[in-house]
Amino acid sequence: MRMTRTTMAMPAAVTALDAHASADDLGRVFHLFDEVDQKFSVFRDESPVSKYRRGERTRDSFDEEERHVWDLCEQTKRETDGYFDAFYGGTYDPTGLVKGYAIRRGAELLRSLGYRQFLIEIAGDGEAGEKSRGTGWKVGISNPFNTREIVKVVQLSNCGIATSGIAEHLDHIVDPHTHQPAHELASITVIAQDAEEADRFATAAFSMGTAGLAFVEQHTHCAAYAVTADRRGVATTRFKSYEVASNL
Amino acid sequence: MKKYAQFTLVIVAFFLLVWIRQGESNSEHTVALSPQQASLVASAPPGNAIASPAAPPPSNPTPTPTPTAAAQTTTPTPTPAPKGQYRDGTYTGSVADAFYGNMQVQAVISGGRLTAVNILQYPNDNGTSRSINSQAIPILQSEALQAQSANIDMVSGASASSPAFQQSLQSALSQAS
Repeated sequence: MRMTRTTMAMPAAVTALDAHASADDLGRVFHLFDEVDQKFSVFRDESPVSKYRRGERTRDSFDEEERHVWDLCEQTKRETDGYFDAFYGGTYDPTGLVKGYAIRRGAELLRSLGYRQFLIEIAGDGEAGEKSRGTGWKVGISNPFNTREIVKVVQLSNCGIATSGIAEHLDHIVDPHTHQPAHELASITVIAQDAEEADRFATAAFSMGTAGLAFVEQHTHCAAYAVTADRRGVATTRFKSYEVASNL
Repeated sequence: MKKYAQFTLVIVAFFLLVWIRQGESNSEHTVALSPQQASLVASAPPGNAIASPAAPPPSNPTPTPTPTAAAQTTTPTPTPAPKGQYRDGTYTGSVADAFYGNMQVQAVISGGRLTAVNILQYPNDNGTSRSINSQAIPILQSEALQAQSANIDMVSGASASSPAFQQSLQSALSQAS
């Protein structure tokens, strides 16, 4: 069973192969996405986060989930040496991890309902259960210079994936004297224990440039694949264990 | 006996593979990750060494206007003279709407060249441009991009922030010219 909706102004899909899969259960995942969006969106004037940002409420009024997301933002800022900073400029903007947080929560919900064979996706970030016994879901990494082309295929089970980057027009921005693109990376894809961690680390690693690959390398349970501005692919050492052999 | 033959074949195949991979890796580019690279520095490629101010001086002590034969072979296209250089300084681009949030970049011009692009605001993180202290610095090999078959369940890819990045950077560069 596969269901697609728009959530957080982005396309989302939930696929479940479990025999007891139902539209009701999959609908609950989208309902959860909408709840997370209404609570944490900085683009909605009436959201609790927007009210906090305008000083209309204090952290004392945060509920348990809001405290959790705040703590996660602080933790991520520490872990990424400030490259992921939800508190930049003295404000609070959890947008950088809300999508991954929502996907992880969706996966938890499905597991609690007895699902094992599922794939949840919001706009290219996702979390995979198993596809069938012992096999994973095949996820293609698109070429940031031509998003209709797949340049790597990985097989994922019980982990998350997220890509951060600048699609398609990157090569138009060049240093006029070297004729080389002005940014080191066009995109970086991170595979981590869940969608939340993949999202947090992909965002930070992209801002770091090629040093982002070293950052992911240091996390022994993560892997990354980057497309550099000069149109080459670079993988961390653990990426190979996820890779599906080329040109199947 | 048959098992022994199979085992031998596997061992031979393994060493053959290792030997081939070593040959490949010698011809592959390597990406050395250094902390200095963390500030998104636009570096001159070896092929454009003639046009680059950072190019090593030619072995001939008297400067000659014609490129050396070795350099010619590595320069596939004629390189325009470095005219219209930017004014040195740090220029902050406009805040551009990147759909998921705001994009704002800063262009650093040094010696008339664009030497760094710092991301002040990125739609997903509001990331700063501070440098990172890399503890482990692995040498990772890069490879050419190769199209794969599309037999997949999902696509993970870069999102729609590119026009905003371009808009912000162009506004920073226009201040420098």
